[in-house]
Order: sequence, then structure tokens, then C-alpha cells
Amino acid sequence: MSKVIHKWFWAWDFEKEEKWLNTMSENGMKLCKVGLCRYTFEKCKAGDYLYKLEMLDNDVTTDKSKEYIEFLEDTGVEYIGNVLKWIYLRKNTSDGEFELFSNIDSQIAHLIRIMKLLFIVLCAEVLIGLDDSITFITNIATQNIELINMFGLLFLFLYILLGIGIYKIGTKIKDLKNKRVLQE
Amino acid sequence: MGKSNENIVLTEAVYYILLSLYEPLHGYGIMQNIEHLSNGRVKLAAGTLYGAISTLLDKNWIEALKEEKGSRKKEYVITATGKEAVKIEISRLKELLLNGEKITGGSCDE
Repeated sequence: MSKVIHKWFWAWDFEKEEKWLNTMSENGMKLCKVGLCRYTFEKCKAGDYLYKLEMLDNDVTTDKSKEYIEFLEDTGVEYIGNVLKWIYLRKNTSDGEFELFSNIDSQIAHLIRIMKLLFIVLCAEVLIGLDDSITFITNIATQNIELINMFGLLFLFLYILLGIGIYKIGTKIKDLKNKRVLQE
Repeated sequence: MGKSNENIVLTEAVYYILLSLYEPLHGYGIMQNIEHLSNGRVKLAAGTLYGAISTLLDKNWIEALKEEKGSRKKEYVITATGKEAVKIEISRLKELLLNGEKITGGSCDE
């Protein structure tokens, strides 16, 4: 019997998402299917699986991505599904620790991939909404309350949100680079 | 080739991957071999390995072997350029080891 949970995670909070999936597993629920904001779970033995997420460079339908997923499966990793370029993976807890990246360089490379996506989205939002945002700000500044532009407000909110996300990932990258001064 | 190669410091993962490919081997085999060579100390993760293989192929330090019919496990093997890089790395490691033992007055068996 399956249970569907609707939940939203920001791209920069993928580690939070992994923690949540691992907690669900500890509580006897394993992720079987994933869609946009949609997680389908089934009962399992408590703590059976560990979960990891990775954002791929290319669409999951490309040869390169398929090759990578097959490679992961050869190492005992199960591929659950994808949401856009994010792949959801799980491994038996009995196999030991589950990591996709064992050195700092590859972790940084993954975070940079995510950062690039956030920048692209931010640029798109700026292109679409800059006009409205400026109108909104000028209206507030000149106290033209009747002309409040809701789109402007929305886009401003999105800029700030993405700014926060980019900052969070940037901080993680900086911390890893500092760590790399001492070790691989 | 030439002087520029002598200042390259390989990462531990790349060094062990190259050593693992003196005979043809596929991805998972490389991971297991490295864990064996290092007595369990180095556990190369799949994502890291895949990225390293990509880079090594680009640099032509390893090459992919033609896949056997029906087998989806791609095998890789080290190239002459790759072997050169390993040689240089080993002399670098020897230098590090000699200096370390000289200065600390110890031997690597302690």
C-alpha cells in the first residue's frame, strides 16, 4: 500500500531533502516514485535504505546520463527516478555508507552545477520581471499606492529568494575550498 | 610531455585509478581494486570515479575499450601517456617519503 506525500524543497536544500528521505526510511517508509512535489512511499523495514540526490549535467534521457545511471546501478545503487535533472538514488543500509562524492573537488563540481542553474533562473527572472520590479519600487518610493504592481512584488520576492539560494550554495563552496587547503 | 608534467600533483583517487588500469577494468572493478590496494582506506565513490574517468579520457591518460557484444560494462585501460604520468608521480612520492623520513628520523614501518 503506497502513501503519497506532497512537499516542496528548494534546489539549494537538496541535503535537507536527503535527510528527510532518510528519516522516512528510518520510520519504515521507502521512496518508490518521485514527481514534481510528489513523493510516493511504500512500507519497508525501518532503516533499510539510504538516499542521495544528484543534479546531472545533462537531461536524464541523454546517452551520457543513461551511462552514468547504469554505472551507478552497477555499483549497487538503485535509481528511483528523476525530477528534471535531479536523480533520486537509494542504497541498502547494509552495504555501508552511501556517498556519491568521496573527495572535495567532485563535491565542489556538483555544487557549481547547481549554482549555474540558479544563476540561469535568476537571469531569466530578471529579463522577464525587471521592468515590473522597478515600477513596483518606484511606486512605493513615490507612495503611489493605487498603482501597486503585484507582479513587481512577486519578482522582487523571487530575486531575493534566489539570491538567498545562491548565497547558501556559495557559502558551501567556499567552506569546501577552505577545507581543500588542508586535504583532498 | 616535457617540463610542465613534472609539476603535476595527482590526487590520490586519480593515482589509484591509473594504477588499477594497467590491466583493463570496468568502473565497479576499479572501485573494488582501489579499496583492496589501500586495505580498505580509500573508498572511491561512484560519482567521483565517473568524473575522474571523464577527465582522464579527455587527457588521453586512459582509453575506453570497445564494448563486447551484450556486455554493458565499459572497460578502460591506461595509455602510454598515463603511464608516464604515473612514473612522474611515483618519483614525486619518493621525494616526499625520503624527506619525511630524513626529517622525522623515523621509518615507514613504525
